[in-house]
Amino acid sequence: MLRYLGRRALYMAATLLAISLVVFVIINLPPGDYVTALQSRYAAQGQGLTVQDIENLRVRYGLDGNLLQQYWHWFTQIVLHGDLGMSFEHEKPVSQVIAPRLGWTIAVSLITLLVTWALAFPIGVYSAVKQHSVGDYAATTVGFLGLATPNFLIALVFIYFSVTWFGSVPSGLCSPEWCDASWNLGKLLDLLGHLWIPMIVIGTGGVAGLVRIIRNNLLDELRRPYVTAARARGVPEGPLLRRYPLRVALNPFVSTIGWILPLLLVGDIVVGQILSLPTLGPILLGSLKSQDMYLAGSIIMVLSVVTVIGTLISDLLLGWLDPRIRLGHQR
Amino acid sequence: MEQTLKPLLEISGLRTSFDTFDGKVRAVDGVDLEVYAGRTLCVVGESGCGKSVTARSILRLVEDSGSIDAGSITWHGDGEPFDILSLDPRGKRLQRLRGGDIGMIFQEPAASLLPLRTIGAQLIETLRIHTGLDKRAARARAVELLDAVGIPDPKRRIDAYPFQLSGGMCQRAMIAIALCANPSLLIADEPTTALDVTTQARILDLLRDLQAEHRMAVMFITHDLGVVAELADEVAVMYLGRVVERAPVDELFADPKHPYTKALLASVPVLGRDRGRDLPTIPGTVPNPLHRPSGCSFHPRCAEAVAGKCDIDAPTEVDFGGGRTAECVLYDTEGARA
Repeated sequence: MLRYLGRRALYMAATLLAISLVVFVIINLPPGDYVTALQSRYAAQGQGLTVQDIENLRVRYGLDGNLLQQYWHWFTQIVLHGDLGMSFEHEKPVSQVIAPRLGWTIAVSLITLLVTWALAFPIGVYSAVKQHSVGDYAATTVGFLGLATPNFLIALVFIYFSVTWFGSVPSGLCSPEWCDASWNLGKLLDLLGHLWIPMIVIGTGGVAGLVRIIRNNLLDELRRPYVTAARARGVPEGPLLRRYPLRVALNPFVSTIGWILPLLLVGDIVVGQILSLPTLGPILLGSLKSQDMYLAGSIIMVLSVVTVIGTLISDLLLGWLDPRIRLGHQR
Repeated sequence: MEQTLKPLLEISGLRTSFDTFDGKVRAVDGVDLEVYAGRTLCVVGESGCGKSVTARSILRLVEDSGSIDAGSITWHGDGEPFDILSLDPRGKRLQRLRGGDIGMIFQEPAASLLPLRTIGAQLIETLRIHTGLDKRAARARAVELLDAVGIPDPKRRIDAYPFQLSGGMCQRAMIAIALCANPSLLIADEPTTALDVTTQARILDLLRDLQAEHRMAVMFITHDLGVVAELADEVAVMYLGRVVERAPVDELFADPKHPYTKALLASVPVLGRDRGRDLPTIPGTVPNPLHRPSGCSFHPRCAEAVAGKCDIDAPTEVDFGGGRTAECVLYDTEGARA
């Protein structure tokens, strides 16, 4: 198990290194660099930067040197000093822009993930065990609708109905009167009152996809010889389902953390914009529009780290669940 | 001799069919079989002749697309005989029958065990269902059972996963599971087909020893006539969902009655005899059960078919006495060659 863990951690580091390269290239794609952009902006406002200021900034960001040296500088700044650079648009260090929103992003994503699982698992199991039943067809139909409808459309539909029925737009994660309050029961209830909307909007696609996956996997597993064999030795149907095919069908379910987490994070970008959530999505969109490349690159980097960690967690869970994966290399 | 023995399991008029896109496939089309206590019945036939479906019908293991349409399967275990087909499919009696009264082993031992649980876990689970032993006693018993089926180092192997064991070892574990509740009948559905020849011989030896030790009946499904010669007391030859010939094993090999059995035996290679010539084969292929030939379903491939007779009426079963029957028009009702 330790070797397995070490191997996964090594893969994870390599993946992150590759992502960081791509992100850095993206940051450097627009013509000019951060300092020239800053210069022109100050010039436009009628202020000038002194030669000394410019020089300091150029040294701080390692802007003199070839692309590889710049990458190395950027990379070591992040790893050794936790310095993600300056946000040009917000005029603050990137880390200060991201930090307060990162918590919300992860919170919304995790809660959505949990709700997605809680909904998808029983529905998927039901429609596999009762294949061709009315419930199965209903779940399948709703599932296809959920898969086919883009999240932002669902968000817009929600806004439309809440305006026509309640006269207000559900936005943000808290009501104005609670936003600045310290944490108490009232604020928590208020949060829950707001949270279900983004949860449904972001989660529908995930639920639909997961239901399909569980249903198909379980249907495959239900036809395996080991199910017949277990039935032939008198294992009652309930334990038979739980101990045999469900155990195997759980694998792809666990490995979904890897792909559903980025899906939720990306879903959050558009939906966060529409529902004005205090998450990373809206500022990523803003930074891309205003070519605030340090901010954009950092957000992409942070989301990548979260995703890779999610994948690592799912790999570890898989290894724990499935002895074939855990023991695969030591036969 | 068979008349003095009481049958343990009696299948009569069994019909099992499957719904497919092309129509209803009658996989088992009126099968009568008896298994006697302590004896071995071998069911032989080509792929698709319905032998496995017959075996699965006994424990009601036919998958959802299939259904048992007619017939009865009477279990004469201890106590009142009853028809297995009339049991509640989710009831306790059927559950006790499966694994308790009747053990079953399958063709692909590795696929018949869940790869995610150790063989010990799957064995102990079955033990506890049928014997009510507590966890520790069941584990101790499981080690004994693994030892009895010839798994070396059972104390360690009990915690092995199926994918860590060879096919032969998995089949041994399956046998241990099937026999853990001392069943009076073991159904073996081609248990050695997926194994290599040496392993196959060892598994057959093991089955024979265990049968003698437990005094249980065995219903052995196979397409291998060599296995039949080695194991069987009685043989039933199946063709296209029907039993075409039934005989004690010596008589079957010495004096096959049905042309299909004759052709089958002729196609077994004999060392020395067959050098330099082609192995005799049965012409044609097994017909699609959706389009069963009229009359005797074997007549298009039969060397002795009588035109105007075999292709029109289904032959009736001829009883030769002594447990011998054949479904063929070549014999009159007294069993003499017509």
